[in-house]
Amino acid sequence: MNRQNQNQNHSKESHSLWGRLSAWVNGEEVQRDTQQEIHPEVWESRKNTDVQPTVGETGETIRRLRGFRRFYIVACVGIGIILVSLLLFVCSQMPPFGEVDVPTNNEVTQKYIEDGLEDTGATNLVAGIILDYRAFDTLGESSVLFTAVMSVLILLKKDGGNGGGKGGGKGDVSEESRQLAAEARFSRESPNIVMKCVSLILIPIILLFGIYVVLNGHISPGGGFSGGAMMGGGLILYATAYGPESVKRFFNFKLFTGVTSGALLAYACMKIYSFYTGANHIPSLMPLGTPGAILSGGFILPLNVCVGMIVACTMYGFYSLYTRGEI
Amino acid sequence: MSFLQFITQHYYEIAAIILFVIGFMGLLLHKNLVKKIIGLNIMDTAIYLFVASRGYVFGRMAPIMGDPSIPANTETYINPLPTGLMLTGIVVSVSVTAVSLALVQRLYKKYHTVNLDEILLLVKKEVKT
Amino acid sequence: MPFVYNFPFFSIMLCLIGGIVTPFVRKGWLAQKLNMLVILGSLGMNIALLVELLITNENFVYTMGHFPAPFGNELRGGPLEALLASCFCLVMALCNLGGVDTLYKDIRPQKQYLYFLMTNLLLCSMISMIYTNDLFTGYVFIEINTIAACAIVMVKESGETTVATIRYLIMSLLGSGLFLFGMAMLYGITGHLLMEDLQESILALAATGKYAVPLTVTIGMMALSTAVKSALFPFHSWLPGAHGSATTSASSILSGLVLKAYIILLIKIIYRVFTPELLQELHISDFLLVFGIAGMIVGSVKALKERHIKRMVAYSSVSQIGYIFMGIGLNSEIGMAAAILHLLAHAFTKPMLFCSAGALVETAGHQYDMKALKGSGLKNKLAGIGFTVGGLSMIGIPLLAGFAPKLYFSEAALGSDWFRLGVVLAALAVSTVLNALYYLPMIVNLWTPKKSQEPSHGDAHGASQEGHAAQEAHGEPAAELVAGEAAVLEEAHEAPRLTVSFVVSMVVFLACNVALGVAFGPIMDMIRTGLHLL
Repeated sequence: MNRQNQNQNHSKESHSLWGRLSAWVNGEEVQRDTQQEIHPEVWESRKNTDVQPTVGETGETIRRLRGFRRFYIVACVGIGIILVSLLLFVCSQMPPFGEVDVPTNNEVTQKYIEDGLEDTGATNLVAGIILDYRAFDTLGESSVLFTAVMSVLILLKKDGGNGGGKGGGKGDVSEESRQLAAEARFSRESPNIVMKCVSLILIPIILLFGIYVVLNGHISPGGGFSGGAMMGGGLILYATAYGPESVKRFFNFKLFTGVTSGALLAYACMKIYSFYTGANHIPSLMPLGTPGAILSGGFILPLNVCVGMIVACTMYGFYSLYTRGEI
Repeated sequence: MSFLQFITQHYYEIAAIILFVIGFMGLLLHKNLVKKIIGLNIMDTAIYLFVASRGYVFGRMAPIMGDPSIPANTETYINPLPTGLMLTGIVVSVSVTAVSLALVQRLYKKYHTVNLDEILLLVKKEVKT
Repeated sequence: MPFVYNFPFFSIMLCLIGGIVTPFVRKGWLAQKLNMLVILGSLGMNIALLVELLITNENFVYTMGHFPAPFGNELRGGPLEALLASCFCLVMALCNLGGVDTLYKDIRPQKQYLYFLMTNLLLCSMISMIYTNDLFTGYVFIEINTIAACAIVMVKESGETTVATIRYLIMSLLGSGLFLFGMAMLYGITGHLLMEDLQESILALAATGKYAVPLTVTIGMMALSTAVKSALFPFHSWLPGAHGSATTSASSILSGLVLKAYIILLIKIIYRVFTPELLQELHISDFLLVFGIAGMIVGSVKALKERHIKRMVAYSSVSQIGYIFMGIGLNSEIGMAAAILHLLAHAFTKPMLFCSAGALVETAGHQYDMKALKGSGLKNKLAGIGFTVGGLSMIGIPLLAGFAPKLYFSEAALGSDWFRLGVVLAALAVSTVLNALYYLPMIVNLWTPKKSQEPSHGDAHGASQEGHAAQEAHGEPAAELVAGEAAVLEEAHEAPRLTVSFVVSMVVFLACNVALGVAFGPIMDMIRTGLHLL
């Protein structure tokens, strides 16, 4: 398409059918259209914003931004087209999907499948790989989760003065009350009787199933992460139906940090033991057990329990911090 | 190699790559931060699809042994390594999404918008005063 | 196996556990003590390992668990890794000491322990990235590094830092996504994740010419992802915001260490996976050279325009990262060694600049502007000396850390063809002049006394800011915070006092800087031995 022609269209007749059509053909549109409309009144509708540019200034800046934006969109679409064609070309050169004779089916895979049960004692070979063969990666992964929940804590935990309603002192009353109302919506019990009754039946089942998945991580599909996510979901359901206050009776901030850090610490200690003995060629004292039994797989079962606890707490922690800024 | 052969041999990866580019474009083009994060998630998911497809073999089972007394045979199970790696990757992406959404919520509380350009303007004003 | 070989593993785990137990502490000062203990512990261990390895002059692999690689995970250490890890620990300790005074003012008391938690995890991830022998382990620790690095920026909790963090986070995640995709393709065409096995199969592939296109794209993606994460020129836009607005020690850590960790990973990948010859053959190193040189010039030009002291220093990082990538792009052994030497020089200089800039800003009454900083070097002499020495070192004055790398860069260029020699020498000359053009005015400015009859600009501005903040306070809790901060800083302005931690950090930084500038020969030998063994 003719770029210059189209640019003129943008300024004058972007609302006309032709303008929109040509923009659409160029693949740039959909959102720039709304963007053009939204800017002039955006400042009016947002009285609460603490810093408000004057109208003239805003218009000037936005005009400049729009110029940059136009170039940026064209550049991005170009990059996208180049990227997709490049990657598809690369893909056509890659080994085909689902065949036996590909580089990934090598001696490493063979060892994992043939000796996995003997080496790790887990019938779920994936659990054996992530919690025994390549446990260092998985320790890193749990630490990522821990880092993330601590970062969310930095951002959203209310402790007087950060973005929350409390401790703000003489803030804008309407704004503060709006925020408090939003938080109150999450912090009271659900008035819905159906919700309460159904969740009363569902929550024990969810929690039990979560515990089942965690404990059977080494002999069936699942494991610490999936089971922990289920348990966290059960806790979230409980908090929605009966209000966070009722969760607080047994799960407060102290318990949250205690369980998260404690479980991760236990995880790290177990793995330090197994890494240290492995590297120094000391035989591990942990028995592997009979394959297929619940008490088997060496460290995999306790590790799964630890991961499950971390994940359950983390999921509930995320929910709680997002909605109310506290646990 | 004909075009049709390319499609039939690689349909899984093609889908992954198209998703990847969709996510990438979403990340670059959207000004709405939440949409940017959604784009990022699509991108990550596409990569997980791609990696998982590397381990799949037609006609073989998921690497979970039903009966531990039967010795495992490479012919029976697919490659378990990519699956394991992507389990790790998924947790990483969950964590990253959580952090970025928390950041967006924080910004929304302060500036009452999720549009990155507007936020940048407002911050520039704030720093000047 | 000597017991010393356990030390990389011990130092990683020490940092990790230090991070994990910090939530039980909940007090800023206690967390700081713990953090210092952890860092010094890993520093000691890494130095012990370095001494041992320099005596035996060998490298080793350390199996993580009961299964040897390629089935299990593995760490791999050599003199270079030990040297880098020791320097990282030392710089980390000094950063946290040098910025600790501002840190307690910038960060809310309830969140201070979280800052130290994040620095522990950051160190853990960086040591892991230095020692790792497996690409996927590298990826996982890259992600820890990303989140923790964002966390230490946003812990200041002002609007500016939050916005800077989200830009930083999005760019970093784009980088890690590309890294993961590159790794996935590499795994698809070779079936390995361990570096040795990867190199073996890649050389075989390159010899037969099979999968040539995926291989090229993969190498490009890996280089691109590390370039995005370490703010090479076209991807540098997030850097000044994040580094310029964070609290002093966070800025120092980010510019001194976090950027470098990715570069080290790239160097490891180049040497241990792709081999420099293949990189040369596919012209990836030429791209790195071009963008490195562009970064050198553009970063300096942007810094020249900047009047905000911390942002100026941050833009200077862009230009210094350009130097490092130029060294990598020259793709000779001496160029790589020079890049690593420059990496170390920058790691010891930039944190010093940030720490002294933070102290000077405090002295001037929380003013970042060049005008307001006039004469502040006279009030806080140690910080002034720190900034002066750091600036001169970045310009490349002999006897300071920044000089030797430039010498070696020129030497590396001499070994190259005529065209490259000309371009590199011209870029070095232009960039040095530009560096001098923005550092020297600032240094002169710091040591020029203000006219006595003129009312102190910083005071007036601070007061007006306070008044303004009071006016605005009805609308916004943060404004109150600003007022409070201004009041606190007003006090600090009255009596600029030197704390022990700041003095210790500055003195050690200065000593290291001079040591790197004078004794660069032995260090260069160490780096070259390490590169041979890599």
